[in-house]
Amino acid sequence: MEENKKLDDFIRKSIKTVGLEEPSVDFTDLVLSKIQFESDKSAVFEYRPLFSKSTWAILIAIVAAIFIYVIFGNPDLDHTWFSFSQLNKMTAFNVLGKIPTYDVSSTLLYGVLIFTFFVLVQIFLINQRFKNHYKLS
Amino acid sequence: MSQPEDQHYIDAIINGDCKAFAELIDRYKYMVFTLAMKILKNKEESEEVAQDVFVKVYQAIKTFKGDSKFSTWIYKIAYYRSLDYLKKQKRSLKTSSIDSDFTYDLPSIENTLDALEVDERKKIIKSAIDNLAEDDAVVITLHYFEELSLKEIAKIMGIEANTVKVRLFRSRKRLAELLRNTQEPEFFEHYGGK
Repeated sequence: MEENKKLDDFIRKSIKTVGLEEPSVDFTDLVLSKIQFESDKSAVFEYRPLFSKSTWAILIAIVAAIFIYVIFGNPDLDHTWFSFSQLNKMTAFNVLGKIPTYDVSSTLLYGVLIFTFFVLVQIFLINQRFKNHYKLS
Repeated sequence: MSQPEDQHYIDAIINGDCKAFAELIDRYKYMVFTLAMKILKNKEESEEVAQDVFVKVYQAIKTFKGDSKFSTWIYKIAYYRSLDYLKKQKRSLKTSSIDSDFTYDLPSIENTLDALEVDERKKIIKSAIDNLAEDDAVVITLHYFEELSLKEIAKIMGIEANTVKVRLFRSRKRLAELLRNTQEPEFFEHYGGK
């Protein structure tokens, strides 16, 4: 027991003699700049949705309120803010009839369709590529 | 350091005071760096790990509930971060040797060490500690330098308090054995020239 106590004291004295290891002089500054860098990084690359959660909640509430009003509120559906008869006048312009018609061969039509399809696919692929490129590990 | 003092800084950090965190870094950087050094045995790597420990502590400080001492919490992060780094490098911890029948003549070891210059003595003791298994060096440092209880060390290392007790007993003996070897002539040949 006495022997153990002596050894205990001796080891304590030895460990205290050696002390602790010393990190670099600018250790604290380095850590603080790392923290600053991390917070800047997360601020720059933080995902910000187009609509915030509260905006979504308001939108959903408005849509739900309209539906509930229409279904349960017995609104007067005959009420109109403007006369639909005015719309009939629009048909007199016959806009569609004024567009000249062209004869397009099927080959050209298929070509244009396929070209459009590939452009759309490329947009999707390029979008994915850029997303991965700037993704943070 | 006492717990209420740490808590004062922790509250300040949560309220966005970055200077308070600098205070905490200055308070714990030596021990965190020493723990990393005991495990990694490399200054650059330990510096990197110790810095990461403080970044992690800063990010997770809101999750510190105060169930244990702040120092226990931070040392635990330091210990596990160092082990993770070791694992990433595909290195493993040394295992401590089983008790030998070695008998030591303590007064003789002490006399030999006391006869040396302070710097030389420090160098020899440090070299002996470095030759301990990593976990043993951690236990010895936490117990004898930081004066932590077996229970607190057990919490940091994720082992039973009894295991800490056995490890402490064994590593104490092993350290004495390593220091006795300083009396061997070849040891002094190695250090004598410096």
